[in-house]
Amino acid sequence: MLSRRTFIKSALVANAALLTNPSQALQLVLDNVQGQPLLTLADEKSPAAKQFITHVSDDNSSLGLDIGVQFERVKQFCSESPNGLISGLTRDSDFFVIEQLAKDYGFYPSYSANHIQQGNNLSHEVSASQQSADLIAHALAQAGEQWPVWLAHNTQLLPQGHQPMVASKSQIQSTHAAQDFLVSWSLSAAKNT
Amino acid sequence: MTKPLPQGISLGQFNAAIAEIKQVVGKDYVFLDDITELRSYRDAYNTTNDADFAPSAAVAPKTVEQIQKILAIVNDYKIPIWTISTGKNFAYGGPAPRKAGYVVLDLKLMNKIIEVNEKHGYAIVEPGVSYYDLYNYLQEKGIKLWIDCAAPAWGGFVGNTSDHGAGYTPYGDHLLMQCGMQVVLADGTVVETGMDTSANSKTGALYKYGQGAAIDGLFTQSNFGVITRMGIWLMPEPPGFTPFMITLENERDLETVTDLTLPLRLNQVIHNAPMTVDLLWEAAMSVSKRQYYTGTGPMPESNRQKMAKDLDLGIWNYYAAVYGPAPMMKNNMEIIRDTFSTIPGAKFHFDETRKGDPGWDYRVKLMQGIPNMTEFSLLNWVGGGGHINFSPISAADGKASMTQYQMIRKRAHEYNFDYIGEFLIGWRDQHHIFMLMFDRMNAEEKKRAHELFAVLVDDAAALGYGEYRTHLSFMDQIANSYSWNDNALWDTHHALKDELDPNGILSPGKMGIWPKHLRGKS
Repeated sequence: MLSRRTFIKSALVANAALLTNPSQALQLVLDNVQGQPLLTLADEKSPAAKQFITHVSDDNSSLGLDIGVQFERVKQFCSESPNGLISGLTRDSDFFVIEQLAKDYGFYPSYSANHIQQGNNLSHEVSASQQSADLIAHALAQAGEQWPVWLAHNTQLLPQGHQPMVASKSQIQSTHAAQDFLVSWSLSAAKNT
Repeated sequence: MTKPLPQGISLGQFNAAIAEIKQVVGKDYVFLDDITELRSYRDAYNTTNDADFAPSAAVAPKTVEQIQKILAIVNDYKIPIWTISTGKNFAYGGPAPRKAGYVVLDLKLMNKIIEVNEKHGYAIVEPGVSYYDLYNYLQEKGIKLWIDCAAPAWGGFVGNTSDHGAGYTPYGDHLLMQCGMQVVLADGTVVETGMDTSANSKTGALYKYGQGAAIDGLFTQSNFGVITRMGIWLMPEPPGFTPFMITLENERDLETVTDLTLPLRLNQVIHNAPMTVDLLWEAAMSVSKRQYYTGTGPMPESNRQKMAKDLDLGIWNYYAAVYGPAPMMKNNMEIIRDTFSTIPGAKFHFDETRKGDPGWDYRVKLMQGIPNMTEFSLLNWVGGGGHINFSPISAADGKASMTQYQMIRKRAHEYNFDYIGEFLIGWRDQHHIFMLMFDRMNAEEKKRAHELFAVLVDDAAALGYGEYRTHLSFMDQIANSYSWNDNALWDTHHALKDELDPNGILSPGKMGIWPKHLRGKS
């Protein structure tokens, strides 16, 4: 027999495209883990990442070109907060390095998205759980130019734990032209499923 | 997802072996989950299929005794293991095994710094000790010794030295600076090399050879044993350090700068391995390709010129340093200035004017053994950045530099890739690193990169150039190019393999060395 929560989740997944408020839908679909230790990293050279990090109130840090200066901090966080969440809006290479570092502490990617701006085209390529990928892609598109702010406000809503990931993509026309490639991501302990 | 298993091993046999290994190391140190735990033991930058290099399991022992017991188990079941230390050589396959189904023997938990001797300038470390670990240790203890690290520096001494890696201080030839090692053979026998094997010896990390054959090199780029300890020489902190950079305006300057460098290296006027770095490598530290060119294929010359001007970079950018007391550095720098100022347009750069430039800052750190990860910025040159390195050796000779550069650049452009490369001048040789960058999410691009690499191996071999190190996919092809006298060298490798590891359990296929039952079947 379906629980009410499971029923809502199923209905939302089936009707994701019809949702007018994907953030609210995500709140229903995923567990919002308030009070969870959070470490957030952002690329200090990117305007979008700067916008993101200024809206994150928890432990956060801007990244320069050398991701190595964050190693001890990430290791310490993983050791002290085994149920914590590490998230970021960074260059692809920084995500790759942090992912490799955190796996030794049992932290694995539970969400990632490429945010690619080519001229006025801004696309969000999301990899996340079956129940959330479409919703996140939709929410990012709906946030328009403010997508980094949406991410900052919803970091702890993003999926956590070990679940198979699927891809979803959204695209909008930006009012300003740029060339950029950023990745947003979150790493959590596999046992937080 | 079907569990990848070693060739000829049933799931029942595999599970039985894993159960025994868990008894040895504890269940927390055996990793089996393909989606989470084993994800990080794959080759993130493979140019074929992820599944080609997917391990069946990974196990992380903490002691030599545990390794001996694991080897006994895998010998019983004839299960191949693939040894890694920190597994960070991602341009060459990273932690992934040569074939799907191998069990990764991950030595990351063997991370003890066993000894540091400041007076004699050496350290003895286990395989899991990273460059950062030893650097931090020296800093905390106030020990006035430098490490020599790879770029990026999250790897470790044992793995990089075993792979014949190089660094950027005067101690940059890592295997040359290795002294003494402990190795566990396939049958569990523990061997110590050089002076270490002499009773009560205190000189294992001081004198490399002992008596009899010097066999340390046999355990590098090979699969004849598991290195569990290594002595490394560390450079005393010098009284002074003067790094410099020379920007060069013309493509042909590569030939001149190489020829001018050789006598300075042979006579130790320049103390470390100078690097001649191409424009795109340098630029990629601070910008991405899309900021200067949004078309397909290699960046056009006009865009390159604009980028060089914007970033105050040369078509080639030459880095080196001198070390020592102030009068000696002054003397050497005068010779260096006189020598390179003969190149029209050559412009010298020093800390006073260049500090803050990303390329300068990270190279200066590397040339004084300060670990950093800045070079990983290269991966952002194209979105979804993946890369493998093509690394041929030549004489430190201007014509050879130009021949290799033109050959690789032409082929790279034919296959629609940028040439991104650097030359490092060693004692007499030259390492040429062509970083083949591709979008790891783009299957067509990966396929093209794979084809280009294979063509380059053949092109280089035809001109008499062999590679010093390579990615998993190309180990056999490159081994076949070392074929003089009817493959006498590889026959020797195989004779040693058969004798030392008759069941063929240690890293089968490493650098093209296969056990008898798999030979010719790869």
